[in-house]
Amino acid sequence: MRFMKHAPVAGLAAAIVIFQLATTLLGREFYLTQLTMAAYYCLVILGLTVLMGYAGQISMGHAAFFAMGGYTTAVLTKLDLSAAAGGLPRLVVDLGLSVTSVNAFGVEVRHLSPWVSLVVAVLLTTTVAFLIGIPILRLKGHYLAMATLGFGIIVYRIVLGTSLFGEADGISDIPAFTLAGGLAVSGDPELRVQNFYIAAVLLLAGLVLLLNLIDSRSGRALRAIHGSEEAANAMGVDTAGFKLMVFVLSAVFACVAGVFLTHFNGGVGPSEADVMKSVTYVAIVAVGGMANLWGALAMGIVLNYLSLRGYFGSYDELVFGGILIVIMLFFPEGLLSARNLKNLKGAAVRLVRGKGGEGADGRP
Amino acid sequence: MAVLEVRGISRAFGGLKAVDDVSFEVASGEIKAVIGPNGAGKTTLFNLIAGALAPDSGEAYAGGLPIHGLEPYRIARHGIARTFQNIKLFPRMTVLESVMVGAHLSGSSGVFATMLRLPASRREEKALRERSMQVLEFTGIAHLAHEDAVSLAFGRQRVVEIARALAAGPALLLLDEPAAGLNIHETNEISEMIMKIRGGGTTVLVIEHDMSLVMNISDSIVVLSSGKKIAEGGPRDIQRNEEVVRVYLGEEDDA
Amino acid sequence: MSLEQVLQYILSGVTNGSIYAIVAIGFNIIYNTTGIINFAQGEFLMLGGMTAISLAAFVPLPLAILAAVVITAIIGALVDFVFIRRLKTPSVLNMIIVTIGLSIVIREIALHVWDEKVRSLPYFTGSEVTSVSILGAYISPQVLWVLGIAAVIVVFLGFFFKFTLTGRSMRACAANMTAAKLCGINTGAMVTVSFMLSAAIGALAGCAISPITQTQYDCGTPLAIKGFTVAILGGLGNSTGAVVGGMVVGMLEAFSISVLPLAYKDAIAITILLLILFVKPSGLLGKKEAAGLKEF
Ligand SMILES: Nc1ncnc2c1ncn2[C@@H]1O[C@H](COP(=O)(O)OP(=O)(O)O)[C@@H](O)[C@H]1O
Ligand SMILES: [Mg+2]
Repeated sequence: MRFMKHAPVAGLAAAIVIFQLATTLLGREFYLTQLTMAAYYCLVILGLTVLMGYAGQISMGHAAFFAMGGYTTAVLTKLDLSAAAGGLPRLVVDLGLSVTSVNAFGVEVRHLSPWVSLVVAVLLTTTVAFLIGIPILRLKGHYLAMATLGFGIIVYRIVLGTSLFGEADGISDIPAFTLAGGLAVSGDPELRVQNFYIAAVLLLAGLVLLLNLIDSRSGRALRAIHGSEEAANAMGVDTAGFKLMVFVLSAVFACVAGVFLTHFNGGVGPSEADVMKSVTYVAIVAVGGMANLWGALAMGIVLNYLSLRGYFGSYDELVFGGILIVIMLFFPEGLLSARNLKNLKGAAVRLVRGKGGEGADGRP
Repeated sequence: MAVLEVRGISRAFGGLKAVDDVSFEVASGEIKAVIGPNGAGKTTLFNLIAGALAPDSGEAYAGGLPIHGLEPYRIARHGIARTFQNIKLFPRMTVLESVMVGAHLSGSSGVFATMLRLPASRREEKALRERSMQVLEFTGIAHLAHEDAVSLAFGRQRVVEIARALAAGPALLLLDEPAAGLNIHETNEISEMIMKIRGGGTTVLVIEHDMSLVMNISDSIVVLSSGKKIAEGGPRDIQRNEEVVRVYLGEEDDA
Repeated sequence: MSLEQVLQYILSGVTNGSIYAIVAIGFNIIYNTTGIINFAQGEFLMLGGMTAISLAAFVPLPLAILAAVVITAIIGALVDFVFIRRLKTPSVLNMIIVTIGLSIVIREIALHVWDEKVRSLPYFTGSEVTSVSILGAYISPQVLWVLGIAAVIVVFLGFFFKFTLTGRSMRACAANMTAAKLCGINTGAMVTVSFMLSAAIGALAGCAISPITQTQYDCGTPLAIKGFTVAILGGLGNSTGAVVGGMVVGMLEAFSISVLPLAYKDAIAITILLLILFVKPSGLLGKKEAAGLKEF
């Protein structure tokens, strides 16, 4: 039982290592760059899968939480503390919360440690998700979709219209995020392999945490809320509390992904907060099978990778819009849903046994 | 002390008084039935007790503590569990998982503990599973534990609903038409199960249309008509009560 | 603020507000017959404007607008035939995702059919420099066209739903789909009609505002959001409410410019939307009882 549960995760870890070795051997390490980015986006998608697929609460505004992470760390780590004479900046330096790095002009600057900005970003996102989640999660259906969409647009507009956030240009030249022992989240091509592993480890950790969650008391409560909020509540599940919890949790996943990807890219722009980004996340969760972390992971990697490498060209948004329609019309439970997989398996078995049609499924 | 005491509870929908100033008590260890024609307000009464609807006025007490106006999940913590007239099982969950949701309150580990699989949460998970299996055995559906709950036959789904409610270990179990749509054989099974549940120390308040079942198993009966309580008493008294007979004439086959 | 300025703001608010009201009514028509909020509603305005602009190069303006309205209505019908009908017993989530997908696909197709350039129809009468003076405020004649067209649409719809058989059948569907079906109303056809009608009035509104606000492949979504805000404010499904809601949102937006940076203008309507959703989701004019029956 335990082995069965961990085998797929171990398999995934092995696949990651094999893939990296293959790209290095074949001299194709540049593939890793987009894969690293895809892994960070996948972190957002995994969080959203739990919120949307398992707990049944749609969010059309998750790009906003990603942007909150990205912009918070961008703004905070770009503040120049070199000449910190007094007040808060001095205190930050004295407490050892600052680091130095060399900027694009070869000048050494002292700035806030990304560890601190990561903590600030998570706290900020938690607070915002909590405050916005209380009224938003009372809504259902169209209203929930519109409210989360509205929240996303407001964040997008703020990012786009505020000079602190660089308006349409965004923020660039963001310093690397030095983790420990020479490991650093940065776009430096020399660090491509280690960055691939940093992203992979983060993604695996997120996956394991969420797999644990859905197969537990809390996870069952969430799935029950999706199935019948009324029945779940009658069984003693604090439905409002659980919905809020998972909303905040998925927002934090998005925020952390935003912080890491921003340091990896060395910049962040308003397109990260765009509604289309949120819609893309929703589309991938839907293709992945809605309530299916593995499906979301697979689709998240594949689609993000193809999109980032420009395979869809100027048809990128068309592809994701088309996916939404096709999935909802023909596979409303998601492409990789348990039922489709089961049907596929059944079809294969029938094919092998050479048997024909199937009777009614026995429901009254 | 009464397991449940309802005092002058009322609820209207627009101009329609669905439940109108109803009072009664449920004594510990008894099986009490609520009967009445369709639309009499029986389900609404359950919704008021369980907190799915807030009463316009009136009070309800569980074991002496006020529960009116509380959210359903808080009322569940007062030891009241229920089933639904139109079955509300959780899609995409097995029978065992559904029943484990019923046992939700006997656990306490939160989102973070379960994400990290802390030892305490693992122990708790095991206990929840065992407890739920016991309930499945008690209700005779242990062999269905790993089936998808909503694809079971209708009669089985009813039993899963009862098992899910029982897993909460309630002091009072509310059953809303547990035998509706079942054949004679299945109805007998339900009847036996209710007796067995009471035998296990759980008080039962049941809405039922099947008169022979009601008369056989209940210790006392409350009769509702147009939202009002028109009679209350033992099965014999109710059968002889003129107003009850009048209300029921011509209503016999309403299901 | 001078009196003329105030008047100017009011006029601008009323103009935008009446467009928002038309979008909201478009939402309502489809919502009432299907229970679907059509997130692609704004794209109908864009399509109407774009088609008319292209056609206006070949035929006289009135004809171009008429053709654009007809073509968009046909697209509306196609949306129903090809997509909406195929949704069997859809969950709300499915409906939302499909219409969002539609909105993206229509927008992206428009991008490839036309391009990302900003275009506009010529002024229906006069030009950008002509203006009519009312009580000291100068207004473009196109503003009068917008107000006139919005008024005509509202009156026409009122007449349509009250006095024509099709209109009444659609109202029956809105009240109770099953009962309407039992009475022999072809509910499927009514859904198609609602999509066509909604697309047609959207297209007409899209043409009317094109000379003022200009048209671009992605101008639909912001309009849809505002239209939705207005629909909620007025109570979903309530067209009188939509007109009132439109005026409220239009005015608030217009006056917000005097206190907030222009960049945040679009956030105003959305903030209003969130506030209403949080405080009173049944809308300002919505009845609480009716709201209880809908799924929030
Ligand atoms: N949520 C509701 N909204 C409006 N009317 C309701 C609602 N629930 C029940 N009713 C009405 O209240 C009356 C009592 O219903 P109910 O309690 O379901 O009766 P019973 O369970 O005795 O058949 C019926 O007329 C029903 O239509
Ligand atoms: Mg009932």
